[in-house]
Amino acid sequence: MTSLTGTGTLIRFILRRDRIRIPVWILALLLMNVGTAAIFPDTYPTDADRHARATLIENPAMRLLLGPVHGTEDYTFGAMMASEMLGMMLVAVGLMSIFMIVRHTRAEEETGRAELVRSSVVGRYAGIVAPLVVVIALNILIGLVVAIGVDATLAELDTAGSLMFGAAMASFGMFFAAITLVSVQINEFARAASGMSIAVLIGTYVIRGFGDMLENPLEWMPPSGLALQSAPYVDNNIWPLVVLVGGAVALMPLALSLSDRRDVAAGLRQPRPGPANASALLSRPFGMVVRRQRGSLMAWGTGIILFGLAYGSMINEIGEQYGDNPMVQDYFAALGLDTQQLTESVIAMVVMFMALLASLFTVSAVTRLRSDETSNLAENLLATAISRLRWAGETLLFGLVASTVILLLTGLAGGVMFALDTGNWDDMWTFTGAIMAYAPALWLAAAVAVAVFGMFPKAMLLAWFVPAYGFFALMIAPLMGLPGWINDLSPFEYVPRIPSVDFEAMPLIVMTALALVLMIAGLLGIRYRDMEFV
Amino acid sequence: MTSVISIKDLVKTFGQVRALDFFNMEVQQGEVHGFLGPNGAGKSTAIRVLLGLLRADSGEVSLLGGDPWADAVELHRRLAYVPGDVNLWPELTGGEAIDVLGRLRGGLNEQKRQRLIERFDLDPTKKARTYSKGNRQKVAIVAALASDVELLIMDEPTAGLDPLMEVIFQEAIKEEQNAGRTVLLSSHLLYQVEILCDRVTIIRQGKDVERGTLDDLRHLTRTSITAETHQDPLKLAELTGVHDFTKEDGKVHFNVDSDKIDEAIREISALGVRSLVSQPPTLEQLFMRHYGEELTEAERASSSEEDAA
Repeated sequence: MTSLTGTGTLIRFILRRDRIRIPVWILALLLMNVGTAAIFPDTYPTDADRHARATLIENPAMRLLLGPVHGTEDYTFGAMMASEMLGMMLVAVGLMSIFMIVRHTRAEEETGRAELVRSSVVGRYAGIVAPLVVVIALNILIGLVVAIGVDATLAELDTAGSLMFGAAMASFGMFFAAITLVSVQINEFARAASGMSIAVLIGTYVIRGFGDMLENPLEWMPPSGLALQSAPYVDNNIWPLVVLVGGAVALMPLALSLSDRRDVAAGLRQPRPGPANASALLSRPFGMVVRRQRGSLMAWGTGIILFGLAYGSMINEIGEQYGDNPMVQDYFAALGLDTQQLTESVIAMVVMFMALLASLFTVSAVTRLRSDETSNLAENLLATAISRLRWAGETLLFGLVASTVILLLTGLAGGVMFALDTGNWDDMWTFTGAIMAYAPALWLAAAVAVAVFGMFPKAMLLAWFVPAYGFFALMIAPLMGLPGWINDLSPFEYVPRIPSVDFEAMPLIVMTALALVLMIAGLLGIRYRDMEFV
Repeated sequence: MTSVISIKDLVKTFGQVRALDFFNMEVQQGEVHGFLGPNGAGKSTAIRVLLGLLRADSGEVSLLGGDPWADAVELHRRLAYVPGDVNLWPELTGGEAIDVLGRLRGGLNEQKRQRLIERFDLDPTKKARTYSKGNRQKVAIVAALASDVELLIMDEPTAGLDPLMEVIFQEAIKEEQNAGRTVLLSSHLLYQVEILCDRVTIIRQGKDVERGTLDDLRHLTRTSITAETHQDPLKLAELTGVHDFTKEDGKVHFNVDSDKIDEAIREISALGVRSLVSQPPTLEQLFMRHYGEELTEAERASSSEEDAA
């Protein structure tokens, strides 16, 4: 078969190019699973603890996010792996397969490197088959490594279940390798190809989520529904996985035949023409910022709001189930929460986590200034009648407004779920108010980013100080028992933890004032420094 | 004539590197001014100082009668800029990018925009992500030419264009000149500057090494002469101002300093001319005199014969 000539060489070439990337994927997926399995015995020492966990997880919002909850009557560690870990792991291997396939097929064609390869003694299908072989092998390897890893870590897990867990991951990954192999034939650009595959991944996952939430047949929605219904450790259902692998195998000849119908570097789908004229929105720098960042705003906003929905529905139960757990009490105390008022403390903790997530978006919105500067995009604007102050100021304004809106919508979403749970609509405002107290901390995060950009553009990584240190202070420092002053460096520490403790306006006023000072300093810095273009 | 751009003793350093070293340039209203220099000579730095994107360390810079740093916004309403390496917002179409640039400058001539898009054969509905370098360049050129401005600043604007598009670009620039607009055109395409420019400034290692009209600059160079004479032409080699004298197949070839050309021609005609070819210096040669030094030094190192002049 001359159409496969050179496949072996290309496989070796891919392995050589990805000699770092492949081990990193394997290791990351292994550690996530092993790490989670390893803490189960300490976290849920008794049957009662495991049962409490099952009750907590068994609710519509969690089923939407993570998938069906298996084995609730005896919620073993294996059932936990199948119910709480598998959903996330499927998404991870799915994304891995998508990125790997696009990287070695469409991205190669887009840069023109594939042309160079195809002009040598290489068969027509070699460029498709080689990445496919590598990614299938990688998925099988990851399935095996994870199965062996978790099985060796936790004696309570049975080997058949572990193998089923690994097989579910591997078959899901293979399925997305095949899906992506088709989408790279259709789309001319790597971004569009991975976008199409990711849309399939997220879309089917969400449809499956509604099926699980409402407990109707949509819970079988392929491919994630099939993979989750294999119920490793609990039912060990192999046939949904057989269907998945069968589907993957069926897609492969389709991809090959589609590749025959197109030229190298072209796609089956012509890129859609866009507007030939700019809308009125684009006549202002603010409109440009909105247009360019709306995708990222939607993605972050939706993600954080979904978290808000899920957590909002669980607050009451978390408080009831974990109230007397000493570890939880210590953690709450370390965060300065009132350990007597558990529900309130859970709200305070949950909103802090949401606000931290939102602050990541805030900083990413502002740091666009720097990437636009170093990619010369800003040069286009600054050579027009737009001052630096306006350019930076309107980008900053977008970051401030957008993240405040995300905070508000998350608060309302979580608040509604919380209120539905408690039956008291005042609780909605309690939750919303608690999260809105973090708005000044987000403004401060934006201010730090713009100050770094204005005054120390070479050290742009420092722009991430507020969220990065915030995560450290919230997630790591309390668990390590570090001294209190370490936490005091994080602005998030000064936000009053309402409703767990009383509201105080002073810290918020100070934070807002500090944010204003830093913003002014940053904007002045931008005014007086050289622009750094390439 | 009023001066649109006036730069006196401009100095700009980046750390240890002195990018502009007492640089001078004058651009008069209504002229197409060529700004020549090799890569790294400081062309883009000078242009970015003019745009107020970089701050001068010392020296005087005046643009359209204002200070490019302090009055940037007001001045930018009156000029359009085409960067050397055009990077466009990947998520916008070419047409959108043209409108954005034009509107933010303070106005776009719709008819002219349409005409230019057709002339440059640009598809304005494609996303900038999908454009080649040449197409990105066209977007910036169309946006600049269609903008309602007095001054065009172009930093190697045709670097990615094919020869056909280059001709269209040249026509477009001629039209701008006829319409009374001032153009600063940086380039290392010498023939392009010869076709388009009234006057040139040559920059090298941050210094302006030559300024003036092309004719002015030609006086600094040599004319190349090939002649066939009835009598023995060897005594021509003795004349002052004659260089690189060679004799081959009865023909002589030499270069003569432009201010000694009169004497040389008299001597030749006294010898009885059978054929005579005289070539004016190209800008290429002019340019090589300034930038050829590195080459000559390299040659010296490999011990070839050196040119005393």
